[in-house]
Amino acid sequence: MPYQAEISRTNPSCFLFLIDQSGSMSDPFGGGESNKRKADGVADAINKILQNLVIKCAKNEGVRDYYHVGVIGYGASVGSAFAGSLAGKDLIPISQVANSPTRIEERTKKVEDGAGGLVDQVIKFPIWFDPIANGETPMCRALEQAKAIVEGWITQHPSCFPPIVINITDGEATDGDPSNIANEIKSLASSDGNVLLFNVHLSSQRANPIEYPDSDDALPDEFARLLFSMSSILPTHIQNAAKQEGYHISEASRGFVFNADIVSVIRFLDIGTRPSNLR
Amino acid sequence: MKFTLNYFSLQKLGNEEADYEDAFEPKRSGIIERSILSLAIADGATESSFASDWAKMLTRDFVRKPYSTIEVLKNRTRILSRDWHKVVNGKPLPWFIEEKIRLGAFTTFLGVRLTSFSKDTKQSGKWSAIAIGDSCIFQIRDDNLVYSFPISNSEEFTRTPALLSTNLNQNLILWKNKLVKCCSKRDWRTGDFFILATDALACWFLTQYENNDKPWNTLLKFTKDPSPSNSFQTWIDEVRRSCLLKNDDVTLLILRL
Repeated sequence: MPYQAEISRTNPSCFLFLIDQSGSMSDPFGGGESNKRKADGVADAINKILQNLVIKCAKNEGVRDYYHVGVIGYGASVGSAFAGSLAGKDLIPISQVANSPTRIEERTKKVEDGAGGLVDQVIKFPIWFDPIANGETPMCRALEQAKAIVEGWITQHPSCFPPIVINITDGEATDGDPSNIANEIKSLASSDGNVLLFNVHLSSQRANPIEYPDSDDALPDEFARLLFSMSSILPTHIQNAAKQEGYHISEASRGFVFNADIVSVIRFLDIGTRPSNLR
Repeated sequence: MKFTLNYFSLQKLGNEEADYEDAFEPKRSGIIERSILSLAIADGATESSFASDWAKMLTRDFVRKPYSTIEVLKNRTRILSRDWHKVVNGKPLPWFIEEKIRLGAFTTFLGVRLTSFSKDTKQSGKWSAIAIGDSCIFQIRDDNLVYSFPISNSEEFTRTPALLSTNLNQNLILWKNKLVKCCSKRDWRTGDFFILATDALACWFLTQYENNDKPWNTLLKFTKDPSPSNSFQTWIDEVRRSCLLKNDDVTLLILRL
């Protein structure tokens, strides 16, 4: 059975994020507040995913390196999007990511007050990436770079839980059709299964969010349909975890979301017991 | 009444001994003579921090002052949660540890209380238990499994059980959805024995039982071995290698009456 490898400090897995930083990302984002741009949506998405991944791996003594993480930005240039002490690095242990946000903001979150109501609670929200919108959309080049990085990782970790590549974009590639290189990435495999490629489509279209669809019938445009077709079918254990959380999932559901976040994927991955009442 | 207690514990393969996040009480092997005996085990969740502290607090508290009702459990949780926060707060912490503390520590919990009928007979008695999550107790009599609590089917084990938290808001769903399980006034008699186990071993136990095996005989042999800890570890290594046992912290208490 594929996708059964234990994710541990001795057998870590990897996440590689591709973030669209092209000029078109300055257009309005259709999935949030009206003054939000797609670039704001990308920054929010990647910061939120990294925050959740760090928290998942944090223990009393610090952050356990269950994952190594890379972030490739594509726009005016293509390459590692990390800044500061992490600048230029392809894949780094999650503990280094945890210790190197550019700043930490405080945000308020509604939580239950124990008496049937909600209260505001201040939470720490680390920022690694600010919004950038500049240049063309060289998605194919970014995917080629991702393929090289993932190939290298698998060579060094041949029995790891397969790497997960998450592409956050408006889908409007300017350097050709990304389908072929996407297929090449998905054909890479560790002994535990093929690399997973998921896509987060942040669109200007004011359409309802869609999460993990099993067909492209309800998708509003050609970009959404292209990204859907590029996305891996969710492995069975992720399907089951998603179903347990109440998502409508079938055997054909793909790792694709439209105008929604994909943070839930972090919860679906198994590094040990996760309380069902952890919110 | 006289009981014979044996305990065994082992951390997840690949982890250090200090990473073991289960907890149990009492921590003594051998003969115990008491009219009332309390046992507790707990399994701190991997995806929470300071879970082993929380598991230890709950088990120690239970054996000091055992209880069998949800109302008492709620009160004790409230008090112990304050103690836990005093332990983990108190120095500047990185943002991710602060966030983990805000979310809370989580653990399973199983508390068991046995009483004898009278000082004269010392032949039988009653027992009760209270449980959250998937740590289990099995009662064996005349080479048969006569009771399994709170889980009786291996398919009921999941990666995401509902657990007891230091964050009292996270516990609301436990009370609301009646996820705390209680059993009371069950009989025991001389010759019975009880097995308490955290989820990996409990799941193995029920799986073997469902395959018409008598898994208690495998576990009982460790109580007769001259170096029980070594042979337990060897056996755990074997069943982990053959994928019959999930790689997780393991805790086993065997109580013979």
